[in-house]
Amino acid sequence: MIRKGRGIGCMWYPIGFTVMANPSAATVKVNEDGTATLLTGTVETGQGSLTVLGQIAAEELGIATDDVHVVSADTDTTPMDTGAIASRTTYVTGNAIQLAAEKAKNILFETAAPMLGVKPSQLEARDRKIQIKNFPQKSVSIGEVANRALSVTGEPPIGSASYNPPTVAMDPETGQGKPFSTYVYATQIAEVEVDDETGEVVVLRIAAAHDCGTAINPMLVEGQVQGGISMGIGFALQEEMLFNDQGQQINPNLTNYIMPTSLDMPEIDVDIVENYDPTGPFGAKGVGEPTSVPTAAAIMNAIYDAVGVRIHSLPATAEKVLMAIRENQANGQKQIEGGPAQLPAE
Amino acid sequence: MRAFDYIAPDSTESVVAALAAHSPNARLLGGGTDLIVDLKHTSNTPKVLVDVSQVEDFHGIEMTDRGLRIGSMVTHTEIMKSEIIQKELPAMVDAAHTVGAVQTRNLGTLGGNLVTCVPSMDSGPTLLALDALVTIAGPKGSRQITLEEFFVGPRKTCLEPDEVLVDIIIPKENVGKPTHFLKFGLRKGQALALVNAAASFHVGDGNIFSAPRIALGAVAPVVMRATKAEDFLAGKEITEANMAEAGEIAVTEIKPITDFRASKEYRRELVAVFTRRCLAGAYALHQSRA
Repeated sequence: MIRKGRGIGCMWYPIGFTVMANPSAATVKVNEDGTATLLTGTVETGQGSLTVLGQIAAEELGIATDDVHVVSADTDTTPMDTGAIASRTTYVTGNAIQLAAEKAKNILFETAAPMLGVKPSQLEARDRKIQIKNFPQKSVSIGEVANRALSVTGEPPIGSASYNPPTVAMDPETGQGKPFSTYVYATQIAEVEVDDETGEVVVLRIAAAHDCGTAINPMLVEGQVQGGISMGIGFALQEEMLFNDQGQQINPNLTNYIMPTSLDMPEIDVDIVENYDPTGPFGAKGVGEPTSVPTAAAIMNAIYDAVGVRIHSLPATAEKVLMAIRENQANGQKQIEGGPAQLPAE
Repeated sequence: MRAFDYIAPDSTESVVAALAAHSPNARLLGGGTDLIVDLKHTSNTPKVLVDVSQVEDFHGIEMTDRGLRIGSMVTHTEIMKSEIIQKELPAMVDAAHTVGAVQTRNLGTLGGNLVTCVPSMDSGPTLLALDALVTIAGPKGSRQITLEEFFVGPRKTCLEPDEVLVDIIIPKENVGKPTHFLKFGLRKGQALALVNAAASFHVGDGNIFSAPRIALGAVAPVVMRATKAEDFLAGKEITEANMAEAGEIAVTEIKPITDFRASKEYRRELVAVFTRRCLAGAYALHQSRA
């Protein structure tokens, strides 16, 4: 019989570790045609971080994302970055880039102020222009300003900066302190079908609500959540390194190390819970790793809801689930005894 | 992979002649989804690859006076798209759909799946449950044997080095026979079967099992028939209890192994469930047609 169940998993996750040096550095240069070049040491791993980092530079400079040429991950030319790890790129690297862009922008303001007859503090950068705050009719294009900075005032608009989340020593006695800059929170709800004769678990749907600070690129946040859920499903139901008694892995290939395919993916509802963080670039925190944290817990709770068994070692393969169901039956327990109410089976 | 010669004959006779000239140093290339992978991992590269994709006799799906003829080079995708198979033998469509991924189904062939002869092959159970015959061509002409005789052991068929599989025939009386296929893998796509199964039977007068067939994969050295379970069912009334009993009997006939994918005990559980569900599925198909 096919039994349905639902389960919830919740998590918090730290962004921007502070217990050791965790720097990123960046250089932003504004070109005479109004575009900008961003140098960052971080590497794109498919999650879209270079798009987000380009957006941060563009937003600070008042230009379009397409105007930003991102040069990344070349140790010959790009500045130090701690790495595409620890869900830190948007937060730590993003902060460095915003600071670098701000420095370049301040040079643009210094240059444009006499052109517009105001003080630099009265200017803002928007729509590819340096304009007077609250009086946007009076403006000059960023390309023109950059050209003037380069060839007339002799101070090219370029900024370099680094960001290292403020390091706080932990109390050696209590272990207490501030190990991370900020935190994100998430809840996922899984709906599963469990075949109580084979133990097969099919994940039908996952609803995922994630706080990521400001969602600089909501589509990429959604993509990260979907990708994290696929990893979470693999963790929950399929992925396992198997070793023989000599300690050699017996499934060192993708034929036998089982990961989810597109057919194994459920319907996913992503809910981005925007939560402005004053320490992040434009309020952003991060979303990468957290996306796969609550998935397995939600699925295990859903399995319990469906068939009344607790799986304590992952992955919850069909065989493991079936054996647990059999054990439950052998113990003479009715599956619903002591457990949550059963949803009607389909 | 070492260098090898490649020839592509365009007739059964020239394939047989090529094999006669080069065996045992020749391998037949069909869709290549098994062979090319093998070549990458073996030091024993054949000297000649004989590509059989150009032979017209090996293609096509059509009704003949003997039954439904399916060329050995017919791909899994072609089976899924065949109108006559969709209508008469939807279990074959289901089985073809579980083979590999889209790309492997586009290239991989029914004949290749049978010739490679791994115990978990997804094409085997349905064809065995339909009493399929195979046509084999060799230097002495062509012969026809049952698919059951064709399977000898894991990765071993009765084909001689100078013989080639021409086509697969579903006997006329079994075209349209209610049949159902099920597969259990560790994931939904690109999975090897832990167990696969097919069952077929005609519904006899008085609602009885007539000519019941149960075929099981990945639970013995070759895809096998559960003949004791079939004998139990023959002539009995079609009831859920009898289907379940046949499942329990089938479990006594298999020889599953424990490997890293599953234990033999779990495979036994699956066989009991799948035998029953395949019988129920075949009956449901019969009823939906009535």
